[in-house]
Amino acid sequence: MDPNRWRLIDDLFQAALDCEPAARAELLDASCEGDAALRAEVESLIEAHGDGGFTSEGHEFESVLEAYAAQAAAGRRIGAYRVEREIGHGGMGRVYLATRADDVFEKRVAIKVLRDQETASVRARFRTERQILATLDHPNITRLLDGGTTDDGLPFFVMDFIEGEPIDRYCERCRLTVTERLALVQRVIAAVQYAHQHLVIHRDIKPTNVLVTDARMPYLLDFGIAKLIAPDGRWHDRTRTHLRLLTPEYASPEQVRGEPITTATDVYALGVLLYQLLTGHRPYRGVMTSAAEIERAICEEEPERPSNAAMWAGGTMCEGTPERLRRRLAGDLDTIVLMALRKDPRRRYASVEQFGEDIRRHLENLPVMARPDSRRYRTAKFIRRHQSLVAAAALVVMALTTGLVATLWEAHRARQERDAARAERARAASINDFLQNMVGYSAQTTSGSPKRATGHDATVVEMLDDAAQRVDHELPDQPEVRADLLTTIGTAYMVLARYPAAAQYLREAYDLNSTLYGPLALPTATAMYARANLSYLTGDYTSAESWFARALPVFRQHASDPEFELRRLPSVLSDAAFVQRARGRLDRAEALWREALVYGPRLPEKYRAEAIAPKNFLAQLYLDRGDLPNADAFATEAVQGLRALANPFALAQALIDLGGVRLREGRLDEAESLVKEGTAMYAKAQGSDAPNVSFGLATLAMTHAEQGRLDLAEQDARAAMAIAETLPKGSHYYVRAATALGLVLTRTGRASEAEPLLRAVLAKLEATTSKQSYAVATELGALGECLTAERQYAEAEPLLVESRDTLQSIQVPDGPDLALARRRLSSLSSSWKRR
Amino acid sequence: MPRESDAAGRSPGGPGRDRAELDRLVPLVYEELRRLARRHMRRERPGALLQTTALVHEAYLRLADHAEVRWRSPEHFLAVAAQVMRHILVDYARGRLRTKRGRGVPNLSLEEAAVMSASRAEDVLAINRTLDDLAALDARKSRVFELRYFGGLSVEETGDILRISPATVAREWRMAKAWLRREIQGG
Repeated sequence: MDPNRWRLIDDLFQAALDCEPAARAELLDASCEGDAALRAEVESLIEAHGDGGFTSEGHEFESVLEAYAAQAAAGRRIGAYRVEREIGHGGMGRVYLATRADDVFEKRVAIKVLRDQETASVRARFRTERQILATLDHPNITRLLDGGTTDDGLPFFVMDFIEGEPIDRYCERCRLTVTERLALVQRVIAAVQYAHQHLVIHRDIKPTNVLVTDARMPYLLDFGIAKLIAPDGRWHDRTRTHLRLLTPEYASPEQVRGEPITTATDVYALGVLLYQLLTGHRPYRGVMTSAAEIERAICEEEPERPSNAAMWAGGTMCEGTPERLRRRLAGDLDTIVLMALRKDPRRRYASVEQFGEDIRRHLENLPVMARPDSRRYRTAKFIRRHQSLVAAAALVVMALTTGLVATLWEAHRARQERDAARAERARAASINDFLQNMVGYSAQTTSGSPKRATGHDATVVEMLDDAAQRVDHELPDQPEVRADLLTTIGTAYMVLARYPAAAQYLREAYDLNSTLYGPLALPTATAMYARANLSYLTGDYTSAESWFARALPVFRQHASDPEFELRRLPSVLSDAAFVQRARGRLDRAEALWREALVYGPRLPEKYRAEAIAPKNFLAQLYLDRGDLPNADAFATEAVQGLRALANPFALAQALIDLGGVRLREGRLDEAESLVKEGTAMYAKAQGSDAPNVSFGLATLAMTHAEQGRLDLAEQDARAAMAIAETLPKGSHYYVRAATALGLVLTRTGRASEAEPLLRAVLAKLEATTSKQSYAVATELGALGECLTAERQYAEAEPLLVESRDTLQSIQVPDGPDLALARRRLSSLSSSWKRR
Repeated sequence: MPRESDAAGRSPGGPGRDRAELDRLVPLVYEELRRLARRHMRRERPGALLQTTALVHEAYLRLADHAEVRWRSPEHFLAVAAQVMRHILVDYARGRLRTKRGRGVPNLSLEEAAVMSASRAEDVLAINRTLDDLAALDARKSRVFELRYFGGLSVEETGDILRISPATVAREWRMAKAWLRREIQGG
């Protein structure tokens, strides 16, 4: 062949494989230009490529060596056993049929000899595990009889010998029907369930570990062996490339990711097994030659529905045609199998027992418990992409809707039973609790601000809308549940910064709760508390204050109630304090925070973050007053306490706040690194466009500005502003970001750009906050500086004077803010004079 | 020592290796690999899995200090070893098919010949033949295939030997596989 033509064929072949299969025809049309022979050549190569074949890594040579090995095994001794022949080998090692050399009964056993391992550690694990494994006594589980090491130091295990063949081959050979296959799998499931009850997880369920005898009796092999070999559960060890311990095609997402192994791992593997028995295929299609491809498929690819997969099963089933098989699988069986195969272990069947129960229900034509993955649930991928606030919020809402489905189902079943209704209320309360904990809302309080998702969270909101609609229409005869869920949903909308929807649901929640329980009951106070926070978040401090004025006494009255209520008190008090601070009443705010601190020691360990948070808020308060030593002391204590608790939400805020203190103290480098750490922590926990990130960036901008690094400062301030612009103008995020940007612009010669920004913020603040507040004073100072730069001295002067006077009245003498206010005034007068 | 395959002397990868040197090296490696394989056959280590790669590395360690040979590098050895393993397999395959026809092969015991099924033996010979055809068309692709398929070498090791990037190895490898598969199926 002409070398040029060969190269052309090669190039086209490679290019075609590199592009999407759908685009190949077009590529070849364009490249072959009527050269039919060329096109045929390339197409035949692509087809041959698709056929696969030729495994690498010396398989050919190995198979010869393997054959040698099998030949030579007979007669060898392993421990006290004499080998009859090799009956299998695989990634883990070899399996022999053997008899006990000194056994008069000639009992036949299977011996698994592991390939080279860290023998000592396997032996140690074996010692601890064998007691547990020895307790497994079930007709469908092969027992672990013995174990030891061979003369040359390889670990081996002795097990019951089962004369059978792997379950998949058995089903094919005997041409079992779907119903027969299900019955077989039910027995397997029962065996796994038995083991789970004895606290043993199999970890490596796959067809070759389930042997079926001629009497159609399935046996599970190798129970617990996987744990002996790979205690961390990983299917292979990345540090030793050729060591593939578990079978990757059957590994669960959590095994691939190295996450904890639970009984849900076995549920998954049983799901893969059932999938394969029903369709003749494993759940993931496509050519997967590398470990990375397999891992990706397991963790990300949604398996095809079994009924669809059946269409290319090639009629291996005894259901007649693929079409008949498809119809048999569509519906229940699709749902059951896919439920077992869900990526998130928590969303699979809660136990193998439930899995088996659903198969039984299907066989008996009863409705199955599994529900198909709905539109809501299929957002799983979305959630994986955003391991952040959005993800947390989505999970919360999913929990909410799942709970709701369960609630409705239960309600339907036990409509007349008051006991059931009471149980449902308890359930709804736990949903509430879960929601608030997941979002970190109660731990965080409004100061730390709610996590908020922007733009890309349409799905989360969609799910919430869905739940809200159900509450509207489907719970007419369950007012207590409905009242509770209204508060939850309203709070969820608030957390997601959907303030109009939040207002609507919280109003309803408040009305319904007052009707049901009266104005002085805890549920009513909870709804009031939520409305108070909503008012605060939207900048309406006056109504926030009045809501708190009504809610606080109720909470205080319940302080002696059980733990659940007490732990909420510090958060409620703190949030109330924030409103007071925003209104310029620092003494009242201080009293509330100090009250919140009192409850700290009475809270259990897991709620300590809530107990520490007020220290941080008090630090802020002292900062308002210009009392730097106290501010620093409280902020440092808060950071230290929260670091010890490893609570990223609360710690992030504390770091930024301590940074703010150090900034005021002029310890700029320390400030910078603290604020950076806190902001990064927020971004990681909540997403890079969370309001709290904006808060951090604004503080960082001020720090950089003080350092004289104005380029950086502008970058930070603009990034903060980009987030804050999606929030209400009265929110403290917006105020903070806009002020930072205004100051940076002023100091880089663009005061005319800064002026409208600062004016708008000031107008908003003055409408909602006391004129005597620190926030207004700060804003007046910023605008005054801006106007000075614009040479509008006459207008700047009264602003700067007012700012100084306010600060003088609320701050200690010689505080840094007061110093700044004075500097601004003197710079104004000197510029004015120069003119 | 039968040196029948014409692949033995063709364009060995690696820098500056000449025919005479190769002729000297191949028999040595051949003997060592056969010896190791036989030793494994006698199951001196029950349970240990037989991996081509492990075997080759074991052979290298034994031959590294050989008085007659100065290996330039481990890669140099691996390149030779892959060729040798191809020879060994071809010899087994031929032996298997002759045994089937009732004629023994001098170098191969009956026991040894039994390790390869007749159909496998046909396959090995078909691959061997077709790989020679590929070498005539595109020497580098045939080398990549030899190193990967017979030598069990990784993409990286193959790249090191042929002085090409792993990405190029992967591309050559997939083309070589597709071409061989098509030729063998078609032919």
